[in-house]
Amino acid sequence: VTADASVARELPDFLSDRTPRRTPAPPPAPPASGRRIPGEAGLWVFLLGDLTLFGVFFIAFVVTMSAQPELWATSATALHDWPGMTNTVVLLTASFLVARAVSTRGAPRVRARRGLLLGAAGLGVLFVLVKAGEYAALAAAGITPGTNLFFTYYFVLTGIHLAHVAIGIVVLVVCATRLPSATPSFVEGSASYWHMVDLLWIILFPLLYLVGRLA
Amino acid sequence: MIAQAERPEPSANSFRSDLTLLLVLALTTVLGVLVVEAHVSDSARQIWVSVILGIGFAKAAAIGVWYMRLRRAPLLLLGGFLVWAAAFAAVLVVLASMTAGRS
Repeated sequence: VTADASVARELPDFLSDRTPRRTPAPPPAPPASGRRIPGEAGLWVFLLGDLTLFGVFFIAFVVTMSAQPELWATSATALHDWPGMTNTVVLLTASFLVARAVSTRGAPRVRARRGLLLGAAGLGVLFVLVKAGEYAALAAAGITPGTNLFFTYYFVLTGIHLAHVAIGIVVLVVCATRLPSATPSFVEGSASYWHMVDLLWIILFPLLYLVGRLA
Repeated sequence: MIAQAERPEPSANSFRSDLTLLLVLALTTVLGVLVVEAHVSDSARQIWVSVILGIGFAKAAAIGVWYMRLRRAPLLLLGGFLVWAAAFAAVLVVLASMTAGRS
């Protein structure tokens, strides 16, 4: 038995019946600079790409405005400030809740984090409802994407943004339901996506509702 | 040893700063609307367009730096984001202020 054991010890793992030793991988060393990417690095390629795409849309909107300032000035007055302003405050509050969910750490706080993420998702649903009400009011006034170029831009830009909000709501709900097993990277990535949705609306609101009126 | 980036901020401090940012952003949104309503037929509309768009991009940058936690991101990512905000803000402010007041 002793000789067998000695032979087995000298054989490589795949020839012996020993279970290969599995040592847990050491945690990645923190960067020397103390700085790190929130969420996955690849997500930021998408986020910055999406921001740039919207930036190009914003430039196209303003270039077209410079060609038809009268149309922009009269069309923008048909939009009411209150739904846009309400939605801005709603998204900002949702971003605040998401930021708190990322900052709140530790296993005993899972319920609090889940509540914050679901609260933000609920505010996202409120945004969609306010936007739907705004679309319905414009449709009742006979205003559609085909009314003129200003409203084509308005419906396309807010529609694409609304799709982003809808995706963000799903991401937040998935993130909340996966706690506490969701990795910090997944939670931060979801939060970054939601903040991007908020950030885009922060520029869309003055561009569509306010700047056109001053054209 | 815990790296500085992974060291959580004191909870009360980060709550206060997150809440302050929310209040400032919400307040500037309301003020922006009030300013536009007061100056819609003003001769200085070009200036107000620049102010409104400039504040909009400053708010977007604040969301990125603070809520997205980019202030603790690698300088390349933080710089890329700030360049995005500054470049598009500059182009839009110039284009929009050239148009404002022409109608």
